[in-house]
Amino acid sequence: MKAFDAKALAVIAAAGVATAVWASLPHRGSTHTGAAPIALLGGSATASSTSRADLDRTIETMTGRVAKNPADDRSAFSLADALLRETRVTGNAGLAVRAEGVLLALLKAHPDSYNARQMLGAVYLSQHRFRDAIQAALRCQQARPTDAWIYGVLGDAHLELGEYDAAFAAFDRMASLRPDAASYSRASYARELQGDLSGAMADMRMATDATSAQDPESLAWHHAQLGHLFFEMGRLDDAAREYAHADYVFPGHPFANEGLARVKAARGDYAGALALVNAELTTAPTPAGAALAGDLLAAEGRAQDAEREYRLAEAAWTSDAPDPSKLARFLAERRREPAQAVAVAERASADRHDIFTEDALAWAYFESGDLARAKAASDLALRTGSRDREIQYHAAAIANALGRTADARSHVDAALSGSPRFDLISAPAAVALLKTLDAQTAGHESGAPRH
Amino acid sequence: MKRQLRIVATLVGVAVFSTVHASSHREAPLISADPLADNTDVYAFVSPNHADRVTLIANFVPFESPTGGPNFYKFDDNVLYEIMVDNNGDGVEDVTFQFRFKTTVLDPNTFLYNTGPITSLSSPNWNVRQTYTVTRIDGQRGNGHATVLGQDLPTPPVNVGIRSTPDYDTLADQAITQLPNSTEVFAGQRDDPFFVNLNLFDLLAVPPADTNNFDSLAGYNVHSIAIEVPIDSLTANGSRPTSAADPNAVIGVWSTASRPSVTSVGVGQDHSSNHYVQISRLGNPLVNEVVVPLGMKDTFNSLQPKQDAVLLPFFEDPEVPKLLSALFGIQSPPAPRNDLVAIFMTGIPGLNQPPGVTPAEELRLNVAIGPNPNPNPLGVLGGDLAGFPNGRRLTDDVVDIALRAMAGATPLTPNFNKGINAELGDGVPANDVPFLTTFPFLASPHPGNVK
Repeated sequence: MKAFDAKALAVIAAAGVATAVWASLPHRGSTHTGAAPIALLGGSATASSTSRADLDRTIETMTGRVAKNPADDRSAFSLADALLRETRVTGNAGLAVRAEGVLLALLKAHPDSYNARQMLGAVYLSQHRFRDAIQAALRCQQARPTDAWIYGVLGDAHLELGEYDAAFAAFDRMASLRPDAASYSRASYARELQGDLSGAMADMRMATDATSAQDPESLAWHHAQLGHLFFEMGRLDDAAREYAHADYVFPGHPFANEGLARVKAARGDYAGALALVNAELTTAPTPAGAALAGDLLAAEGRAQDAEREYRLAEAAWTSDAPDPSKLARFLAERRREPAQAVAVAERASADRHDIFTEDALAWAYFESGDLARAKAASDLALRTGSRDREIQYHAAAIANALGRTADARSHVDAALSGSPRFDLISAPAAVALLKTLDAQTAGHESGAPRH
Repeated sequence: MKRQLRIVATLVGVAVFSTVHASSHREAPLISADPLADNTDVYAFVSPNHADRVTLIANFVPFESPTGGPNFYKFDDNVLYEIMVDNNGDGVEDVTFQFRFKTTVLDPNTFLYNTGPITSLSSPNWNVRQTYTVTRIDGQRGNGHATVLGQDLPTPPVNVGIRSTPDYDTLADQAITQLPNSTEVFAGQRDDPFFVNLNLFDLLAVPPADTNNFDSLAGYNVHSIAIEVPIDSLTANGSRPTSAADPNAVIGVWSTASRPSVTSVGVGQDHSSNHYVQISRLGNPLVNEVVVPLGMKDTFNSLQPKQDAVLLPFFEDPEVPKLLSALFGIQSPPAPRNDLVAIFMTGIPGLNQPPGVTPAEELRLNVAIGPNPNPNPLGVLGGDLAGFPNGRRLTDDVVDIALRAMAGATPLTPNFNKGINAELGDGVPANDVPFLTTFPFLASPHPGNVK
């Protein structure tokens, strides 16, 4: 009887071996540590792509498998990965919550599951739970200190919190362990944040080149990022082409739609932009999309319609998809209740000190008339050297209000350089500020007393 | 009416917002697979048409579905693809062939792969093309002597389908380049020549346990690099050995894919570094899949052959024989498996083991053993010394050979070279399509569309 038990155990152990072997085969040559979100899924010997249809299929298949056996490590990992990708292409963050549930159930069955904890870090990032993401990554680091993925999660989380030195160090560790699309795109964003747009462009091109045809979801994401960088450079035609490319490889990708809408808006085609945004709001509604729709309606003189969109965006950022940092910037830029904007921004900056949160705080203080605090926060928003045009315009307006005209001029030039219509709200304000500064200069140069 | 529609849309928006929690975080993809730098198989054999030459083949990008449009497969311009030859058994490369690719887009205003049928390599309808440079390094890669063998050499288009690439074989022929010194080279998409029944990895669901046998890789393509060079350009003493016992007769072959690292800081400096990181590495078939444990795979991929001593325990006491015993009661030789160390790490004494060999995972080929006009797919096990594990030909059934070797069914362990041990196999004896009889020998890629 004892011998029989031992044999049964041996078979079970062997089954474990077989599963591990099987899981590794699809990669053939390189089989990385960790798991394979896009390689073999399930029992069919085909590589599943990340097209919209394949993502849906993966979610359906893997949901069935995980329902049958929540401890199925590989299926749970694949499901969580597909749900995160779906989060990106639908803006539906409820899917990230679902992914978390799948992974926590797996961890309950297998507390040592590396794959589960690895993916959990990515899920927490998606939910903006940056401290939790760091904790998950640090636990992975104890098990496999050379897994590049860990440093991607750590870097992303530190970056969102405004801990830039730690973020960039993590990205560099990631790229030295495993240069690939994931580490190239992170180096690109680090460079963008430091104002090095051409370096950011070069790295993002490498990331795009490194993305395989099997992964259209990532490919679309990368082309949309190239579009964004061209937009930041004021190269609207190139931006439009990259956004169109994103839409071509992953039809209806929300980043492509929103990017194209911003290009149209920058070209003055408000109706065209609005059509794109409205189409997207019906399929993948985001607060940023609603805010953009509001801006476009306002630009067309439809104040009441704009107000409805603004309320939507505000409600979503307040409760449905809480993001105090973005909400504060939104409220301050549109001059909606400055006191509330300050309160929201202060709440946001209690948690994180990234340049966009500091910028939101700066602008909220500025709109509420607190220039000293506005200047202090604006300096923090400028600390990485970012060329972000809104940060630059806000810095210009604050400097101007403080009578520092030379600073105001250099910041407003940076805001408008090569892209006089970068944003529906901030760009016209920047143009107006530049006119004021020009008039002052002309006044000084004429030497005539202005009485 | 228009206004009413907008209100409805807005209401829908509210409903969706309140249930889904929209996500707006930037969220760069974290991907664990890198197919463009993923080595799938390496082949090395004395050329059947030129007994004084050796053909070396390295394949990349696993699981290329022919119907991959609108995104087409490619080599990555940023990846350094290499084939190495160790001609004195010390685990260090003595000759290296480096392949670097360059993509050219004819009309940057379209992202279509082709705008009409591609009937020649100079067709103006072919929009996205890749050329490559082959460099030979004599000595170690870091400090060896580099010679450019060919520059801006053409690759064929991928086999899009009967309308875009109607006469594919002609296009592929045009992309075979003759170089000086009896050297031929080719790079481009081909049929995946590996044949395997992946049921093997479902608890050995292969004959006799299971008769549902098929080539799981049938219908898939890969990207291949093939080069045929004179034997005397590879050997340590620069001559073509006439006796298999010649101490210069054995060469060890492996291939790698490496990527440049990047840095996040140092704005204004060159963005990409000269530091290349080895992403994948492959010599013998199936080693990474069935011998190297999951937690070791990143390490394995980063190792140089001279560092391979750390792998010895996995060959000396591998998992597969334990599985054979547990599932089928098949007894294999006891550890330490010096027979497997010989087959996969040192070469077999008297066949393909160089004198004073350093154990290293290289595909070892005795170039003095001439080509067999009637190759036996079981290679050495079938009495055909010109096949695996003496090098590897496209027709060699490496899955059956490796399975039997794991069970000890080789002349190295005669007590186990019989009965079921010598009959193990996956039931797939040959590739799904026939190979060519001339260089590059690999079959044409499967077309994306046949109607």
